[in-house]
Amino acid sequence: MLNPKPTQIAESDLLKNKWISGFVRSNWFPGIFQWPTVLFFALIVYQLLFGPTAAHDNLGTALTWVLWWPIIPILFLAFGRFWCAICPFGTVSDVIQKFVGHNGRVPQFLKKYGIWIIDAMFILITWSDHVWGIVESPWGSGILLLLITTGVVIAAALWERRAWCRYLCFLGGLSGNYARTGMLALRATPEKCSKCKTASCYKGSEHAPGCPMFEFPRVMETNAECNICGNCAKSCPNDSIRLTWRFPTKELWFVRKPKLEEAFLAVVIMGIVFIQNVTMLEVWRSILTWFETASGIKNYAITFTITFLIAMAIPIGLLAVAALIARKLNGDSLTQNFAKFGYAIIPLDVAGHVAHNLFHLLAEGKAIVYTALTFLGQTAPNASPALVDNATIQLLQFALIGLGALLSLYTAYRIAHSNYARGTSWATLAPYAALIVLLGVVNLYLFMLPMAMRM
Amino acid sequence: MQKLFWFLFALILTACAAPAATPLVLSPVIDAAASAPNEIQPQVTLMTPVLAGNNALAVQLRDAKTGKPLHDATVRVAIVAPKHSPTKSDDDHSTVKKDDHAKTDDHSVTKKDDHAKTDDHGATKKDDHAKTESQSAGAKNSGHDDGDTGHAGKPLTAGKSEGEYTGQVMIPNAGDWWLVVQSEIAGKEEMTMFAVNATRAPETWLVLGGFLGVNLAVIVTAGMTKRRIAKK
Repeated sequence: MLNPKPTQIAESDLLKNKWISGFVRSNWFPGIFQWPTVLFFALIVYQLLFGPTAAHDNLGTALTWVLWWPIIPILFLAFGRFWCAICPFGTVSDVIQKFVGHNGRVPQFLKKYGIWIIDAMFILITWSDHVWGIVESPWGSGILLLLITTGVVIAAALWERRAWCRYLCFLGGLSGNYARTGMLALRATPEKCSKCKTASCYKGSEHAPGCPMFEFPRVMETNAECNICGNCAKSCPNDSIRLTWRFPTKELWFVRKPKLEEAFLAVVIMGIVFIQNVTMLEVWRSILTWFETASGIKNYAITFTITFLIAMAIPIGLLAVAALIARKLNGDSLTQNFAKFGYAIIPLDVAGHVAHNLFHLLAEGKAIVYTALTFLGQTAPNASPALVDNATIQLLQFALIGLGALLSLYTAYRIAHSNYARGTSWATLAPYAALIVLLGVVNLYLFMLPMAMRM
Repeated sequence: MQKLFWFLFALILTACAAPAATPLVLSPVIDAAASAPNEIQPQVTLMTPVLAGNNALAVQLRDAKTGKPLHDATVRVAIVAPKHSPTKSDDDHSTVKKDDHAKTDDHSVTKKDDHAKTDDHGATKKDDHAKTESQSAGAKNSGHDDGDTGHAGKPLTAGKSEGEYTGQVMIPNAGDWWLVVQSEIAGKEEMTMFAVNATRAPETWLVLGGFLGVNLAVIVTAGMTKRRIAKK
């Protein structure tokens, strides 16, 4: 169902364009993007570790948390996981592996539980940011990058391909989920692949290594794990690989094998977006004071952990309740319902993530220029770092949440209609639609409240 | 092998041993061109080593003429880069009156509130809402606006001895800085500048060396074992 008919592909296949095809199949791709990001990464690490200790003055902090983090979900939406192909950690992994890598098989437990490890790491990093202030501390951000680098080096030395990126990167789960909403899709042509005996796309050839993400394009049904690195297009002797534009979120409409861990991450991200928003609101201090008074606990790490767990549990609990209601209507189990419709939350996740970070990008965007000027020994102007006024940012945030909620509703509708008979599908849709509307309204409310800056 | 072990052990111990903190009294930067001598004489004491990040400090205020401790003063401190000093030029003009209204960079002043927690590297944690942006009200951005030293941070709190004021100052980075002390008694304000040099915390190098060591060890070990496997 996910593989469009060959005739449809031919019309929109970007690799039919000789310029694009030549570029993607050339040795320049994706290296031409990889090496500049490595240089930027080196600059960022240098600034974070040796630059100003105040986040406000640090170019590394500005480039990481005001530029990169806000635009990363937009990149996933536009180009799928292409960022992962040019990510500096991936490049470090490729280089280490090329020279000293043992290319061992990835342990079975990583393959089986990798996504849960990724989920746990993502939650742990978000938690530690709030407790230890990683974002606000250039040193903390630098140490985080060094820790990740060490993990990448160890994984690259031990295991084949990009084992870190596929099974361990904390961003992997988020990027996989977000890439499903992406507008760029890579697929093989089934008719050509059925006659293929080389499987060069997976194994590699003299033109390029095999898929770094352990994907076999011949049977690939999702872009969640595809980096669009172009290796398969370079290696395929049958010109089977197709690169097409598609409607955002379209992949979510036809998930044939929904996974509980992916659905779980989708709702957890919603909880994380909530907590990210809430802790940056002025009202957060009042909530914290009230909680400290009521519970008698004065330790911030403990009070935050409790509120963090509650914030994550709320969307999980709400989806479970919706699944429980739907179970009575469609006959599927609670787990099946949860797994199927968890994907419908992803568009709202992306919208919430982009909307939250839009504030940092647009209200603090000039900080990148100012800190760069200071880094170059120039004097930064005494001016606001905002690129646009707050009213405009808020309007964009509302529009994004509205769009995200609509796309989530439509995704839930498509999932319901592709899984159940007409009467049942509408009844099944009802609790999920109510949940999406509720989550959208909560998001809108949070964006109406005053928010703190990162830098 | 044993010698190597003890050598490494001694090396690690030496590296870990933090130098004992001793008080350092800062010298004011002399202002040759000041129109009138200051009436308030502050003495600033920091603990050595002065590190990039947050540092505890004590300011002792005395009457310049009588030498008597001055209490009931409002004392604020700020860190400025020498090129951004509140003087009119970058030379020795350092002790200036408040009414000069010179600008300094107020980013470096620690804005701690009851919930604020700072680490050794001067980072403020999430619950430090010192810089809060009002979206709905469209309030002014707190970002890079330089402030007047007259409004630089919270006042220091009164110390144990008469005329002593204590608090913290955040030094943005290792290197030379000027510490501006702004004292106000009965509506009269004065500013005095002190030269201060901050160094990077020794743990910084230990941590970075540790990361470098681990990564190099992994790479070298992987390279050597790969070569051995290839030979077999």
